[in-house]
Amino acid sequence: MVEVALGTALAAIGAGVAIGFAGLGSGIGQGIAAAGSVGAVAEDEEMFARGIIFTALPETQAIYGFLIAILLMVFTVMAGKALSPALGLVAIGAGAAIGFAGLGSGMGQGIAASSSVGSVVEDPDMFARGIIFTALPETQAIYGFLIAILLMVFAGIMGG
Amino acid sequence: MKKLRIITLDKYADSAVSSLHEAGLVQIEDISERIQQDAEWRQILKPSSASPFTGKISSLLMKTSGTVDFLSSMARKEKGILPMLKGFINPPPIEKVEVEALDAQELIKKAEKTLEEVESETKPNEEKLNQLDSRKTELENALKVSENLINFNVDLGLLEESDYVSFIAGKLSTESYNESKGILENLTDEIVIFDQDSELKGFKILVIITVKKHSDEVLSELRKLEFERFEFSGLSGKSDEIIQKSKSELESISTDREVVLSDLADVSAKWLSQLTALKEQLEIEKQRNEIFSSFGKTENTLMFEGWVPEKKVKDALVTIETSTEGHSIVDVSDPDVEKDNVPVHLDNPRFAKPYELFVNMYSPPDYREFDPTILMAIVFPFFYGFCLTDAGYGIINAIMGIVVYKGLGKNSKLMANMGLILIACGTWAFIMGMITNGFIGDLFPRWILAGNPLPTTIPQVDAFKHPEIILYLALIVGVIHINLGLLIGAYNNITRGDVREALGAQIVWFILEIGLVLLAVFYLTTGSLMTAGIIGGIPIVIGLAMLIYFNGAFGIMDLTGFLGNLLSYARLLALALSTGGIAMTVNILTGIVGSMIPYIGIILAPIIFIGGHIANLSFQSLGAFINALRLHYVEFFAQFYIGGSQKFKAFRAKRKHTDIGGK
Repeated sequence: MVEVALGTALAAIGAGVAIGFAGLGSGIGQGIAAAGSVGAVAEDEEMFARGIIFTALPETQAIYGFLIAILLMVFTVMAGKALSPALGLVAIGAGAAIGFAGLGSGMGQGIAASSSVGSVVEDPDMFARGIIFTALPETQAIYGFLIAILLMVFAGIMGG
Repeated sequence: MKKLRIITLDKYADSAVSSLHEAGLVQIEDISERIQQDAEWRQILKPSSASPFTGKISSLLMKTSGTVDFLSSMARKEKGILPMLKGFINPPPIEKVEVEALDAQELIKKAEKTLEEVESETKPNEEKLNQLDSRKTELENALKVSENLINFNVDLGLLEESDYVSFIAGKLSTESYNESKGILENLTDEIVIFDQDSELKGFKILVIITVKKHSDEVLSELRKLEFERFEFSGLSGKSDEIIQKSKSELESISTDREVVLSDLADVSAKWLSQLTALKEQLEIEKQRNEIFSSFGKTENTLMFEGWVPEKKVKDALVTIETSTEGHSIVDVSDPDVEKDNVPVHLDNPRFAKPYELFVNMYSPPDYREFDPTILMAIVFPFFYGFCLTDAGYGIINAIMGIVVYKGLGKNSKLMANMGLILIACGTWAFIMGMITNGFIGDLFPRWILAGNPLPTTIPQVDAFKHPEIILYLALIVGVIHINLGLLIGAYNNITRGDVREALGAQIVWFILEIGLVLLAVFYLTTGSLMTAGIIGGIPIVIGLAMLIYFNGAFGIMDLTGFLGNLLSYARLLALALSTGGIAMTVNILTGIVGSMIPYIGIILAPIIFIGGHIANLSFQSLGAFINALRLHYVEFFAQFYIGGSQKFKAFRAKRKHTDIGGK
């Protein structure tokens, strides 16, 4: 069995939290958006492509979570680096940052996407504005992502 | 923008309207409402009405549209992926039909004659098609009934209803059948039930013979058990004979149908382009006849108003003068910006033209404000490139842009513009990718350059080595972009004479920023917090005081809003890393699959590589596009944009399929 340092194991928890919670939020959000879209497609078949776009938007949070998880893995577990327990805790912080931010952001974005789809059915001109409104609740995920990256960079887990 | 008031004699009105319609220079303003509401105007003018031909033209247009739709559905189409791809990459250009300039009456005559001729060719075929289709339905029913009753081996002609006896045949689930037996036998003794197993498991085929007076009751009981009844009236002969006959007749119908469809395809090939041209002519004529309802009239003259962009005033005047042979009076005046709802015509150089779409999508700018399209044309592709930051993906984006521009762009201005936007965006993504060491993720360092970065990489901004530097860059870009917005906002407010708004909403932030910069510079150079505090603190205090003075106590809250706007630009880094990170993940997975799974791995690896990168490319491109747009709409426009004007919409004859002869 490969010996894994405590810090590295903690970083693995960070990776799990990152994608776990971000995926949770993104999944719920995407579910809400898909539920709205399927109703829209029933009213107007041409809404299919636009429904898919709106449903795809709340996937970003999962992508951010996935990316932080991958970065944590690449720079710790996969690099075979033995992380100190303190750095391991920093990695958990990074994972929690994007994980929970993605949870809230994904759910919010899903609700906005679902309503936007509804308004586009009523008025196709609402498409661009619907996208913009739906993009707004992504900001929180971006903040979470930013803090995760900054934690990793300044603690020395990642980067030169 | 200039306002035109045109008065001309009745008899020149048609010619003036037609010429202006073809020239497409003027937006016609509806003055009929003003005439009805304003007593002074009402004394001089009466509202005019749409020409008497409008109704006839509308009904002909509807009929023509219907025929065009029918003929396009009948046209021969090439099937398969290759022709579809060809249609995307190199669609045939729209061929224009040369038409004569006709007045409304002549056009009505022409349309009626053409439609009659087309109908004489389509109608017999349509009728034939309908007959074939209804015969086909009959035969399909006979086939279904016969196939179900084949095990009974009886002449279906014998089951014809007589004066005293009814025959009922149909399908019932086995469960319901057992239930029904008791119910039906309780109902009457004058009933005989024959059953056979259906080919469908769990179902029975029944033939029930009963006295006619009980048939309704029997049927109503069966219906409760979801009985599917077969209609066999008119059928004669044994089931297998009927099946054979029906099948051979269905085959001959299918051949006949092909012949009729081929005839209709010939008719479509002969008439479709002419009818499409006719449809366009009718649409144009309809607009021309309807516009009269926006005018005012006296006994012998007609008056109308319109907007014309300043550059085109001369052309518009010449058009009116020539078409009315000098029998017109035109008053050109400046718009009253307070009262009039002046339309806005965005007029930008060619490279920025495509981005007018984005500005109009948000809301056309106010008549007096700065048109931000040029800035958007410069910054949008840069933001897109920053978000994507991958040279490989950039190249693919640019190639897609070229394909769209050269292909679909030939027939659609919107597509041509989209193509140009994609090319610019792709180019920036390429540049950003090359300097930050991103080319399809870490493709080159991983497999070709043995761990070394791309030779064009600037080491300080290598995305995965120094993301913090890229974050600083993103925030610096944000500061510049927001300040640009504030500058435009100040300019807008000052030119409107609203200095107070300029001071409270824009200039205050410049003062605060100067304070912060002075604070930082003096602290870093002198090392004394005291000196820096005094020099930088003064502008900061002045700024804060202004913020409270102009925006009330809650003005302080704007500080967090301003900071939030700035931080939002960090998304440039987030998206850049996300593209590179996921691309790197795809590469890692490709490597793992290729080296770890024997044999199949070699086949799987390229599939993962191509599929993964296509998915990442499309998702990240969508993300880059939306976020570049969002940074403009939410963070940038919030600093200055007023918007809300109506978009200039010229009264223009859209000729996509026709050309006026002699032009």
